[in-house]
Amino acid sequence: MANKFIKLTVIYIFGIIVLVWLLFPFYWTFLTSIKDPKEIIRVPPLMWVSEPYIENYILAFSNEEFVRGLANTVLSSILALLVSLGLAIPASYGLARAGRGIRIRGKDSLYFTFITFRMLPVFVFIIPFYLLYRSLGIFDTIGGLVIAYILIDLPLAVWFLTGFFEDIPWEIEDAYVMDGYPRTKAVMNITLPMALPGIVATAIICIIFTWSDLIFALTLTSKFAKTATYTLLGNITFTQVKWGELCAQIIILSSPLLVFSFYIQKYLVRGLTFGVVR
Amino acid sequence: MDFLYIENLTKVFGLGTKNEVVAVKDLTLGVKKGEIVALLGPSGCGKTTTLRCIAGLETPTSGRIYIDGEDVTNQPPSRRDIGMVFQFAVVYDSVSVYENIALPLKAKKISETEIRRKVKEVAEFFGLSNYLDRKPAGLDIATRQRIALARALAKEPRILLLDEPLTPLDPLSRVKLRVDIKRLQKEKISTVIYVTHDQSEAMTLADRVAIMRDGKLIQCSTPENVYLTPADTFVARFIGEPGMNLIESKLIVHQGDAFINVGDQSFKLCSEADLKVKKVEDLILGIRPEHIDITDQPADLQGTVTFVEIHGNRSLVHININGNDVVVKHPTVFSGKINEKVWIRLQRDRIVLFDRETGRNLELKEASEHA
Amino acid sequence: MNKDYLTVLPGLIALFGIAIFAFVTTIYYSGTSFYLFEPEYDLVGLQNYVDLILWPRFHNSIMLTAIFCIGVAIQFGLGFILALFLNLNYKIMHAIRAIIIWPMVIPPVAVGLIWKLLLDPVTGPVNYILGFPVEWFGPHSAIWSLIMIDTWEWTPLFCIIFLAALQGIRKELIEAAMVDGLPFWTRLRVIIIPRVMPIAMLMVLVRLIDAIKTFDIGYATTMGGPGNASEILSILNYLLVFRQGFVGRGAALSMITFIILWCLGNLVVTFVRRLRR
Repeated sequence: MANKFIKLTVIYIFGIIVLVWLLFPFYWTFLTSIKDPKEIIRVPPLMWVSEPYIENYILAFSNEEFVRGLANTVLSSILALLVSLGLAIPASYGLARAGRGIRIRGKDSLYFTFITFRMLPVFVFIIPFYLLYRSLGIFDTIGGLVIAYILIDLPLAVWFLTGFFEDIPWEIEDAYVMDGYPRTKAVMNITLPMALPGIVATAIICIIFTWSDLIFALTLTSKFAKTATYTLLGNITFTQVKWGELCAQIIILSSPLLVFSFYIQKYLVRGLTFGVVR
Repeated sequence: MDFLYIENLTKVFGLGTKNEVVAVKDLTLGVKKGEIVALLGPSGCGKTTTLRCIAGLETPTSGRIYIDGEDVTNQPPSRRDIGMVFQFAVVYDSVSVYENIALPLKAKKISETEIRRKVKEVAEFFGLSNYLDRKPAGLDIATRQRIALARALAKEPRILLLDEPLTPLDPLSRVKLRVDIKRLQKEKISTVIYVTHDQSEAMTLADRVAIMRDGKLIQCSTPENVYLTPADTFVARFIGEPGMNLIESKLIVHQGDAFINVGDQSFKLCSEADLKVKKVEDLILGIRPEHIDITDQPADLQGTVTFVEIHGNRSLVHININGNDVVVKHPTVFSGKINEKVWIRLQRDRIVLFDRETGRNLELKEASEHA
Repeated sequence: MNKDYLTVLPGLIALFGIAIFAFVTTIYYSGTSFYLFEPEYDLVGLQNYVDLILWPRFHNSIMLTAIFCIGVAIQFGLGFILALFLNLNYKIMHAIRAIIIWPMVIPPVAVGLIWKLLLDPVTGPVNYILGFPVEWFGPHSAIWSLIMIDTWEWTPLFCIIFLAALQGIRKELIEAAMVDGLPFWTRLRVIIIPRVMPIAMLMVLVRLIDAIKTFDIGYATTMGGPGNASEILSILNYLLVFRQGFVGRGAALSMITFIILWCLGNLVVTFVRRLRR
């Protein structure tokens, strides 16, 4: 009996250590976002705060650059997502269905072509994009950003969606076709609804990736199309770092992502391992 | 006390939640050393749960388990000195067959030479000697199950637990392996608990059969007893292929003789003095298909032929007697036709009487079902 | 050709179009002396590549990137241990499993900035809790701090993958081991590791590729500094092109990086092919 007790205590202690390790940075960021400037630079640092100082959040929301940045982030992410899904859903459908589940050599190769895009260094794309955008005059535009984001979203979406489409039993769709329905109708009414959870999960994952992007925004935008992640850096100047506002902005920016993460939990493993682990 | 003694075992899953399931209800069972007892019953009857409690993979909600006099209820599986074989052939593909069998012995820290000897011995018994040096990948399921069996037996456990080990095998391998298990058990005088839903397996392998239903132990007795004197109508129908015929009837005592009335028909069972059961009026009469003869002369009961199944040079004749479907095993190909009227005679010493309300065998007293 | 592939075409064309354009452009510029702030440039053939390969700053960057990849091994080990722990299924695990992917999900730039705050030598809580002042972003420690931050961010990835693999192991295998009294190390060696190893290898490769591509964390904290102490490949590339304006050389560097990643990527593809049987 004593053995069990010791075992349980050790496990709980380990669990608490893990929780602290995971959560402390979040806690500290949140804490800093509600500290007033004097408390932030206090030495030694305050581990908690008696009265929350919400000025930081007010400052963040009245910061024109940051708010515009948020809008840009949301807009470019969603636009890129829509275009990417529009291309990826048919592509994944085709890849998953080709050969009716029989593994054809060609099919895997195509699939991997999409996958390898993720493996490429970003700069191979950034240099040409930057030069092209500048000369075409689409530098610092949402449109330019969207094109770059499609580059991120499309391979990602195909990677995840193909796995989800592969899981759907194709017999039902085929049965509809044999009953006389045109295939497009069968797909719209049968297959897509079944794939919906997977599509939503993929959409969320794509949003998380483009939302978090820095490098494309950094190099391809300047004043107008700056995304939120880029504006975060604006809090750091040569003279000082506005930690309070910065943390507030981080919290505002990250909260939707943290909420989204709950939905994609169960799909993550499947997607990340190319469908090898369920 | 018996070598393995299970006392008032109850196991409830999800206790206190809305998904509460009582898997085993107040089960008491004793197993003697060197015996094979089969836990038999339909799926969900609690036989696997009982086995897992014996193994220590589940903790009983209440009740105790004793092995060789020792209370093992709270001991972890590894300390109970048991061997277990699962329905899923547990074979470790990453090591050789020899390693597979030797692993539990190595855990016990026996000397290398001893291990080598034991492994070779048990491998030979199961015909695995040629496979010892290779990895199990690619071997068929029957061989894999043999490896699992070998591993369980190599350490010479005091109790061997088998959870439907033959179910995934093809029929031919099943029969072969069944014989091997029985032979091994007799040679090593191992105590074995064997869970199965296949009654032919249970009846051929076991010294005693424990029939379970809905978490309760219905009857535990020799295959012969279970066959000829089932404890209730469930056992009567479950055992035997096809099961025992159950005919709704009434028992009437008249002028010193006992009669059985089926609808408007009646035949004399025996004299009142010979009657061994208490005088209940509403009964169910049980008689096995092979203990009924079809006669030309008027005999006990008359009915109409509804269906005839031919099996080789024998037949199964379905007869409708006052609404009861009675099946008769006929030793030759039955020449009668559908809708023909026939007479049947029941072998008196094979008739079993059940209480119509409880379904219980009227001849057995409550306590003696564990004979 | 199977007509099912028709639907793949638009997406494929889009990607290929962009890719070919990008590659051709980059390769072209890698063969020039294009300097961002001057409109004229010459074609210099492979000169940029040669310059790079002989450049000490490049060597430094390669070495730092290689060290950074050690972090992947650490994430692998920690993730595995965490997964074993979470697999035990005690109540506290539920809380952990819900939030364990949080570090992966927030923008890496934010991760970098948060840790910059945490590791601030004066006002940062880490130094305060430790009790003595540690210079986290000094000339010898910068790269290791980056590794630490990367570990915090990506260990959960290994953890959830391993956890899923562990839970995929048939329970009878573990139960049999329990009945046979096999000690924990044997269970690990014979059951767990063989099941988990293939997917683990795949993940290591994927993460290695991502590690080499890491940019955001470095940019948010040290920008390659102090000096060149944490100048990993992507940071070097950025500085070369966008701060110093050496587009030609930057393009060459990105091609070299591409070759490295292409090799690793092919390994990934082979692995996935094999695993999907």
